[in-house]
Amino acid sequence: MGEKGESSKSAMLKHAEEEELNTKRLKTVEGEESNMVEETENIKLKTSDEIIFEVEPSIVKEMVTIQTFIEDNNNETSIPIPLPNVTSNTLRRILEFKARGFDEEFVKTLGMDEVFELILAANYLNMKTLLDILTKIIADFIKNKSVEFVRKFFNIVNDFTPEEEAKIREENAWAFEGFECDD
Amino acid sequence: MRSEKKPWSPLLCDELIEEILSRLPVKPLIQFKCVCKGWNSLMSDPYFIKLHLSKSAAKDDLEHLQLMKNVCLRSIPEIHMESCDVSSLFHSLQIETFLFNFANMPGYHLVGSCNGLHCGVSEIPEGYRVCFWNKATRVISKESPTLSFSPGIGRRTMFGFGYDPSSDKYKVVAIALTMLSLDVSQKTEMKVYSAGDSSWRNLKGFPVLWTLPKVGGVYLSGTLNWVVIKGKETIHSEIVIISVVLEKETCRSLFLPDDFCFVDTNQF
Repeated sequence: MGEKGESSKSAMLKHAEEEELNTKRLKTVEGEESNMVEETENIKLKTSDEIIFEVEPSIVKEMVTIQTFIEDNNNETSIPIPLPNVTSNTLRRILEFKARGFDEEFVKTLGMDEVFELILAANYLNMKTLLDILTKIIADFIKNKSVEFVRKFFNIVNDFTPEEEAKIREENAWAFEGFECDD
Repeated sequence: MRSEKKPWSPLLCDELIEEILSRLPVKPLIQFKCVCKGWNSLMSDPYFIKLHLSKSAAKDDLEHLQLMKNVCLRSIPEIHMESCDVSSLFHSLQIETFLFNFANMPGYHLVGSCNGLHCGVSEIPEGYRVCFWNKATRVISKESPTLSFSPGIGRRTMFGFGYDPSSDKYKVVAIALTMLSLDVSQKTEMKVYSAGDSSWRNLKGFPVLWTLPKVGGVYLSGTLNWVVIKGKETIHSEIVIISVVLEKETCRSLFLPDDFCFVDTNQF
């Protein structure tokens, strides 16, 4: 019947234009109507720099903050949802990362500044899988680094006096043995 | 509470940094105590310690597990531990074991481990003392108050060590069979000690035992368990599991399935 025809048409559409849809998903739409064929309504997200993204509901489900917001507002999805803490660059990266199946190797190609932005966004959006991967990557990165490196890395001020710090180092001298690599 | 404090880093919030730190192995964590005062006190924060433990326990690799073998060198209950990495059992052709001595403290022997915390016992003229050692962080507790049992002409002891989640405390259970005099009677006693307490307590409801369990207590979900023979070793002997519920410090007996039988491991 009519319904059957439409669903097989959408199946074909999804199959054949999967790649194109991916890029369309990442394209920015500034205040215009989307020209995508939508079987399920995509959710509009507006980043801090005023750019609107249309994102598939399955991806938005992973963004628990947004998902909760939608459910609390009676599933009202016609108005763009503001993300004041996420820039368009960051959201684009997140969607790209997701499209690549959260490939760790991809994240390792990004600079640490970008990783920090990603982790802050993932925290704000409450995306557990992404957070797990990013925290693990940072942990692996710092585990062989020196105390000084870690301070610089996180921009942490050392509030110990030299004597206090020396005392802690002495008490735990065994932990400082071994090769330290700061590259 | 935490939001009133100045954050450690202008780049990430404290909670995110904690998540990252909880994924680090112990050695770098100890080094990073020097980073700032906030990180130093974080390492001693019970909440963070539990978070770190949960992340370690959830790892897929077996790096954090050790297999311990009881090696009784003499007939007196002196336990010499050998241990090896569980992961090496899967990856290495040759298994390297190393002698596990309790924190280099003379007179102490390992009697149990739980969540990476080891419990050691030493015998003194007045009785026994226990102490706790975190091998990974190299922190040792103070010695416990003295544990004493009824005086007699001979005694054998067995211990168990586990964690009680309801009170968030680690507890040691001590079982003693004391020969009071030259007639055959032995006295059974079971006592329990919570880390940090000022004295040992009697357990409630423990059965009369005729022999001691052969190995230390097995910890499972807030209980410590031993296989024992309850009753005289003649016609009416019963093999049961003595299970101590650490929360209530009570004892109950669990019967083994009908078709249970011991396997003679010397055959293998």
